[in-house]
Amino acid sequence: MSTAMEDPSNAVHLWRSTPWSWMRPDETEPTSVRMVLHPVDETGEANLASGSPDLFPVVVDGPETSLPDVDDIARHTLANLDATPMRLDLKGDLETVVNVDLCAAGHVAVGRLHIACHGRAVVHLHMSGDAGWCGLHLTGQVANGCSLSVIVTDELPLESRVVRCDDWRVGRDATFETGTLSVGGFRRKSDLRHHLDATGAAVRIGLAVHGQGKRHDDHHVEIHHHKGHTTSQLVANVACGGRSRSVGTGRLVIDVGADGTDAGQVFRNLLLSQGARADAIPELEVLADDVSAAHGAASASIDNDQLHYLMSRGLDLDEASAMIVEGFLADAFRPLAASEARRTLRDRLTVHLDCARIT
Amino acid sequence: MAGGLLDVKGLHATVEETEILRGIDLHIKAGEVHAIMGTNGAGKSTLASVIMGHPAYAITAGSIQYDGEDLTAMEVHERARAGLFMSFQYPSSIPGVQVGTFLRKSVAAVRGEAPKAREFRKELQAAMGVLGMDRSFLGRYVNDGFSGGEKKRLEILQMLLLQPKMALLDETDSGLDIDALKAVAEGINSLSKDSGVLLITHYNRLLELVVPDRVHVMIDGRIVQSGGPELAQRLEADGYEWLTPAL
Repeated sequence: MSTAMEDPSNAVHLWRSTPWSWMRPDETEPTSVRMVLHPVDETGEANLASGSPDLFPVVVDGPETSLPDVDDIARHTLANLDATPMRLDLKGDLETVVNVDLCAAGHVAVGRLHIACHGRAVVHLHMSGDAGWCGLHLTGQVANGCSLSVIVTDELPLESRVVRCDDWRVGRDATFETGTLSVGGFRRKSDLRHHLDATGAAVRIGLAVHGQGKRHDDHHVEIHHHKGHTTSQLVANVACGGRSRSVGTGRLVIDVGADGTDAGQVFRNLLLSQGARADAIPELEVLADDVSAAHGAASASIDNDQLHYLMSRGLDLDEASAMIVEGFLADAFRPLAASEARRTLRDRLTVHLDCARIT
Repeated sequence: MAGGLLDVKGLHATVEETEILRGIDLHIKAGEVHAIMGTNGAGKSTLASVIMGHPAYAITAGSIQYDGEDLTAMEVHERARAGLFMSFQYPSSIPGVQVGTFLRKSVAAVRGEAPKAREFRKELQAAMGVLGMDRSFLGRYVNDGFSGGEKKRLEILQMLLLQPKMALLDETDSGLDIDALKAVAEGINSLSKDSGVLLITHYNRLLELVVPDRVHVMIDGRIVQSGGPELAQRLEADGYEWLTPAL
C-alpha cells in the first residue's frame, strides 16, 4: 500500500467542513492503541487477539462495489500507521457487557479493531489516554441472526485530535446497534459506515455530541441498504456551547431493488450559546420504489416552556438547563434496544456533564 | 381582605402587549379551596401562569402577595421553594429525563436537601398508590409520549411529593376518564388541610369530588361573580350567558 496520497480537496464532500489538513497526524513514530479485554461472563466467549490487516475494510457477503475504499485518506492513513490490528471474536449469548479499554498513549496513537459477532453481545469500547492524536478504525460483521451492540465512549484530553472510521456489515435477520458519546478531543472527525447486506438486517444508531469551548466535531454517518426489508434508524443529538462547532452529515442510500426498506434519520441541534454553531445535513439516495425513508434536521436553543416547567419544580436556571441538556443528549440513545448499552452511555454522560460543570 | 395565603390585588397582565388580565382581586386563606370557572379565553390559565411567574407574561399593574411576601419579586424556582405549586394544563415533556430522577431532584430542590433513598421510595410508593400509578412510570421520560390522563396524574403526583402550601391546578380534570378523575380528586383531597388550593376548571364534575369554599367566575380578564359551590352548579345548568350583563 502506498503511503503517498494527496490530500483531498476541500470540495470533496466528506472533507468540506473539516479539511484533512486539520486532522492529519504529525509525522512522528506512531504507537499502537493498547487494547485490554475485561473478563466476561461464562454464558459466551469473547476472545481478543491479533487480527489480519485484510479485515480492514471487511468483506462479508456484501457487494464489493459498496465497500469503503482505502483510497479514502483517513482509512488509508490508519492502515499505514497501524501494524498490529486486533480482532475480537464473540460467540454465544453474552449476558453482561463486554468491556474493552482502548488506551491511546504517546504523541500519535492508532488502533484498528475488527469485531466478529456470532451470538448476542453488548460491547463497550472506552477510549482513554493522553495521545495528542488518536486514530481508530473499527470494522465488524454481525453474522446472520445475531445481534451486536457497540457503544463507544472516551475521556481523551480536550486538546487532542481524533479520527475515527467505522465499517460495519450486518447479515440476514441480524441487528447492529451502536451508540457513541462524543465528548473528548479538540477536533474530531468520524466517518461511520454501515451496510445492511441481507433481508431482515437492522441497524440502529444513537449519537450524542457535546461541544464546549472551541471544540470541533464532525460526524459523517452512512447507512447503505443493499437488500430489501431492512430497517435503519439514526438519531443524532448535538448540544453545542461556547464557541464550539458541530457538523453532522447523514447519507442514507437505498439500492435498486431494496424494496420494503424502512429507514429514518433525524439530527437535532441544541445551541447553548450565541457563539456555538451546528450544521446538520441529512442526504437521501433512494433508488428503490417501495420504501419508507424519512429524514429531518432541527436546530434550536433551550425551550423556554421546558425551563419554566422545571423551575416551577424548584430547580434554578442552571440546574434546569443542565437537566434539559442531559436529557436531550441521553435521548439520542433511545433507538438502542439494549438497556445495558443505554445505561452505560447514560452513566458516562452524567459523569461527563458533572465534570464539565465543575471545570 | 388581608393576611391571606395568596392575595391578588388589581392585577393586570399582558402577553405580547395584549392585555389578558384586567384587574383581578383574589384572596385565598390557608386551608381554603377556591375554584375559578369561566369562558374560553377568559384569562384563567393566564392568571395561574402569572402567579407562577411565566416569563411570557408581564404584570402591568397590581400586586401579588404570597404568605406576606411580594411574590413578583421572586424567581420562579424561589416561588416553588417557598411552597407554591402549579399543575400545568399542558405540562412540558422533557425527553431523556426519567420521571424518577426528575422527582428526586425536584423534591431535593424544594425541601433544600436530598431525601434519603429509602424514605423517598416509601413516600413515592404511597403517593403513587393514591393515584393508582404503576412503578413503570418512574423509568419513562417526563411527559414524553404520555396520554392526557397520565400527564395529569404525574402533575398530581408531584404535588403530593412537594406538599405545597398553595397549589394552582390548571384544568387538572380535563381529558380524564371517571376513574382517573376520582384518583386525581383523591390526590387533591389528600393534600394537607393547611394548604390553599386554586382550581381552574370548566366543569362541575371535579367540584363534586373536591368541594370548594369559594367559586369565582372569570370573563374577559375579570372576576365577575363569586359565590359558594352552588354557583358552579348554576353555571353547569345555565352556562355563562346570564352573567354577561355583569360585564
